[in-house]
Amino acid sequence: MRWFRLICCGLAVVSSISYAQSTPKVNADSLVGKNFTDRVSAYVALRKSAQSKVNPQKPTNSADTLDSRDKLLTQELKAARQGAKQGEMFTPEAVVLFRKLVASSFNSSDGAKVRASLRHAEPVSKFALKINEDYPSTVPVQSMPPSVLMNLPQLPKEVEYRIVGRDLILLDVGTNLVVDIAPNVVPSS
Amino acid sequence: MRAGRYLQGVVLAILVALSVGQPVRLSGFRGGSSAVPQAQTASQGPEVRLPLQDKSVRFAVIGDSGTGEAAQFEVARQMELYRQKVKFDTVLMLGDNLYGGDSPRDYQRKFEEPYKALLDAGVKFYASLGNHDSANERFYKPFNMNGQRYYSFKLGNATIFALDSTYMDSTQLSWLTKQLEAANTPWKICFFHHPLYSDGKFHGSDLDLRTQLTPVFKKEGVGLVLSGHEHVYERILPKDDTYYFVLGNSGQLRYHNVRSSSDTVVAFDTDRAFMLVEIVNSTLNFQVISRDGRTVDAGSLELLAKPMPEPKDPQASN
Repeated sequence: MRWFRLICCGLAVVSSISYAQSTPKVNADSLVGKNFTDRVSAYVALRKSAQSKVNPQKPTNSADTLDSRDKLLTQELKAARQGAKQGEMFTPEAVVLFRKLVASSFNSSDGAKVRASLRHAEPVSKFALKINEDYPSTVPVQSMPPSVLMNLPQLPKEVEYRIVGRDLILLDVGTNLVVDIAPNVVPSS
Repeated sequence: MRAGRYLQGVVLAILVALSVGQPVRLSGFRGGSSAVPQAQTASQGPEVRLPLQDKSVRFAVIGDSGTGEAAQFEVARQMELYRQKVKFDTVLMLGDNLYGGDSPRDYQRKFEEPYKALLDAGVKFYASLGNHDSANERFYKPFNMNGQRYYSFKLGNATIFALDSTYMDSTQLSWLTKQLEAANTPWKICFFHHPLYSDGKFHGSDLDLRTQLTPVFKKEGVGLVLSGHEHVYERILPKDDTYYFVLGNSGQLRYHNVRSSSDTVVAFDTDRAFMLVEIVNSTLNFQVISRDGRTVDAGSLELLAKPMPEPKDPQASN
């Protein structure tokens, strides 16, 4: 009887060890992705707080009103993120993840179409961009290949991804402030 | 004399080509404006080649318009001349509505001033965003975007969808699919900046966007797609029963920039242009007019596209 108990206990230990070993490891990429979307959510919360101090954009006949509302929000956002540094959204781990995600679009069966779309969509050469500063209104935005977009973590409507050279930037929609930059995310060829 | 004969030959060749559906590259005629097939000259005033039937749907189309330069104003003047005859009250804008910035001065110089006569006449403009546009344009009431980057509206027997082709994410794509499914008009028309089919040498077709959109267009029966981006005019052979037009030369122009292919029905790349559309039941009549009032393309197209029937649920019959 004693032996029987010992064998049962031993079997239980072995089975629990083997269960633990067979439990799927928490996906490291999804943790990095979750961390990125949490950071973006925190940015959007900050943006909403800045927005609450100024009149929100709403349809108007006046280009002057549009412009002044935009300038006020830009000012508030810049102040709220004073001293913001590259990597606050795209942490080093997130940059690695985004390189992987973009590369998977480029290496997919539709990769050639994605590359062609990028080439045909008026590619923007790399130019100096600063965090928490304006994306110049005179420079067109590169349209995002849909296959790439659909492979990246979804964003709230307040921010969007854009490609500049080989970098992926996170842009505030409307104010056109550069929220963050992930360098060399787009494959070189 | 020799030139006259050459001209006759060229016009004849074009007419024959048109009648058999072969590509015609109007841009190839470098001899000057007289070589473009047309029935009238600018001095004779607008010659409308639309049926102008009662209760038809009429609208104009412009693309890549917002330069603020003289050519944009000249196109706008032609639009007003034609409006007085055609009585269209809607204009679709295919993106790049304001080049070089979105300051109040840009809105004035590149939209309010050139189209003043049309705006004063109560014409409504509906804009889509191009790669040169600021997302803030969606809050500018005269663009009728109602704060949205993509939206739809009904015009007679057509439902019209303005899309943001600079950012076609899964949210926009699923919105489009649902809205197209819900649209109960025979004509479903999509307009957006980047062309799915183009023989323009500078940009060409957006292949990735095409991969995402054409299955939806086919399934939901989109009859007409209008795009800009290439600074030329192109009429493309129908694809999966959808008609495709490129009109990106209402302000900008990329001279001699079309490399015609078997997909090209008509191309025009030697001047600016705008387009008029009149829908009468299942017939879409169109006329494309150059900056100096010449008709560079015109015709009637029958609605081909129909929504595909839902696949039968095998469980339902059990």
